[in-house]
Amino acid sequence: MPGLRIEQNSKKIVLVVCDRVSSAEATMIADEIAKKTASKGKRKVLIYVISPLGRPEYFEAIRRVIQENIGLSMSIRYSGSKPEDILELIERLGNPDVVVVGSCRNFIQALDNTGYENIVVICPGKSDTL
Amino acid sequence: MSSRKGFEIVITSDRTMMSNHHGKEFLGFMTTGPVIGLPKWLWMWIAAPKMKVDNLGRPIEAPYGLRKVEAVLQDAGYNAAIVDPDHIRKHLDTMKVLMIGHHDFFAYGPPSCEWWMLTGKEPVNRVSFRKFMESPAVREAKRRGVKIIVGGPAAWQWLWALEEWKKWGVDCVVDGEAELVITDIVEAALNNESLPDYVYVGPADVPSVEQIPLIKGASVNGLVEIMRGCPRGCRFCSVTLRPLRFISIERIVKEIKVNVKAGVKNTILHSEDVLLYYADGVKPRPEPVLRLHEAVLKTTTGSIAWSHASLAAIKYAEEKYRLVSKLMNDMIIPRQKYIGVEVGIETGSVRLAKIIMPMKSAPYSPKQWPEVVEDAFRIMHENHIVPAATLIFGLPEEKPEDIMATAELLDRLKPYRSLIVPMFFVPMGVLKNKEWFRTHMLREEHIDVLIQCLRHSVRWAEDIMNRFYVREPLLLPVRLGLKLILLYVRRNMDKVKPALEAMLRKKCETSETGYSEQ
Repeated sequence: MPGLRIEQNSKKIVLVVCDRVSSAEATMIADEIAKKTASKGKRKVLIYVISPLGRPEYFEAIRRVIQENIGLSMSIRYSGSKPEDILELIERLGNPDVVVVGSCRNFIQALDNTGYENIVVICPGKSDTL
Repeated sequence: MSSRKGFEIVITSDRTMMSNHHGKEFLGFMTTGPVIGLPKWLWMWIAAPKMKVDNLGRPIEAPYGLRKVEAVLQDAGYNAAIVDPDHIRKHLDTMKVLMIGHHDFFAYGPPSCEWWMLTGKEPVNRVSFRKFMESPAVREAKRRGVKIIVGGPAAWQWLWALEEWKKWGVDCVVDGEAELVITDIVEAALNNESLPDYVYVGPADVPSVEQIPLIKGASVNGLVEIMRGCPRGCRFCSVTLRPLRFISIERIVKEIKVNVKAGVKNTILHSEDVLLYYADGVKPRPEPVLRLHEAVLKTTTGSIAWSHASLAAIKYAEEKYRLVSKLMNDMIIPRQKYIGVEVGIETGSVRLAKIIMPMKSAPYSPKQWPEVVEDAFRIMHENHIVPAATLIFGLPEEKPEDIMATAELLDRLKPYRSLIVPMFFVPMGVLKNKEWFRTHMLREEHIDVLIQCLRHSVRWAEDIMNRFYVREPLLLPVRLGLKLILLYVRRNMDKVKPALEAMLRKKCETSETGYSEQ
């Protein structure tokens, strides 16, 4: 349980990002985050970012997502770069919502292998729930 | 709380922020531009002279936002203080957290980015901030494992400065009102726990008035906050995203007393719209505004300034209650010759005003926007209020006819004493996901308006200096420096238009259009 006030009582989302996020994808991710957060009656979101882009380079990919947000308090934590990291994270967080964007085949495969279902893959033009 | 040994938490900024600009807040704007017409050292001395400090390097005056963070941490019992950037090395042995705030870390904000794009030279605020971050003291602090937390109104700029973020080892960026969230971020940093990379403080975590602490040391030029947020909802502005809160006169007076005790007698009332203090929506109410000014005048013998006011509030307050002339004639003019204030014109186009800032003219209709601007300028001129006004180029959905409308409005503003500064659109507020305005988007119409503004502002700057500004004998060298800059600008004014037109021709040769499809 995170101790920071801004992270208390927040919706936890794991965001896996592998490439630069387009404007359309950013809007879709932001909408997805807002929807998932609101559905739990929360006004804060804690985003764990898994990205092979590294820290802080991953912001190059997700800054549009941050810019799309207005109403939610947001805390963003970098949580690793490899498929193993996401497996460890979802175990630690206990079935969190996972949003995947970009060419993240390894990550999707790793989640698929464990039968993980709470995942949304954002693709330009569509959003698929696995 | 003070420490003889040193501080664990050092709060600071670079020299362009940590200065009282000779007691002339407006001179601080020189730090948003590149050096022109003067040697760099002289430019910096005029714009951002060093601050007086105590033996621990604590400045007598410090930026108000940093003072709030300092107060929050000191109230929570931390060994924290604001330290002048030239003196942080004194705390290397004790420092565990270095907190840095800024209005414009990388000169990506308005108007810095505009001067940078037009001149091709880095503004001094950017240069100064880089120099600070790469100073031996900051590098040594980082080498010793000090955690770096950055924040303030320009926190968003770090999202576009990832190379610097990495190079300088920034641990956490805090974007938004920090009062309620900063203490445990600092606690985590002190405990060497992992920090979030980026924190955005949304409405769920903004403080109530009672949760905002009083400053414990003097603020730069006596700035005190009288309200937070703004009810107008302009789509380009980040302030409107915050809930509106009024600070009580009692609390304001307490902060002024802190300033006066430190020898800072002047007061800048900070608000997005001073005349909306305890207003009825967007309609000013005379009683609270008069009571506020009475209280300030009773508390200090120094001068008063307003940070911002809206043109609609100025017109309404004067026409409905004669409030502006009452404030000026009965309260302010007996003490000082003029008052300075920042106001936003943004556009002269009714069409664009309706789309981007439909409430900016309220309680008047957006259709009356040009008339509201002109009337407010006349009222200010007649009452010795000197506005520094902004325009915004490249607002989303801007069309050439909108710029023409702005040009027509500027013609009508010629007789009124003012400075008018065009700024390039920087995505903020509800429009923060939109495109930045860049020089390749400049059109002929923009250039004409730029030149109009330059001529208007140079003409009135001379008048303002002759009548009001920097008249104190002690500031004669500053006055001479400013005169030299004005002379340089006047002499080179005729070269500006051809240079901008050449920039435009270059753009046409590369077939870039000024507007994206809308």
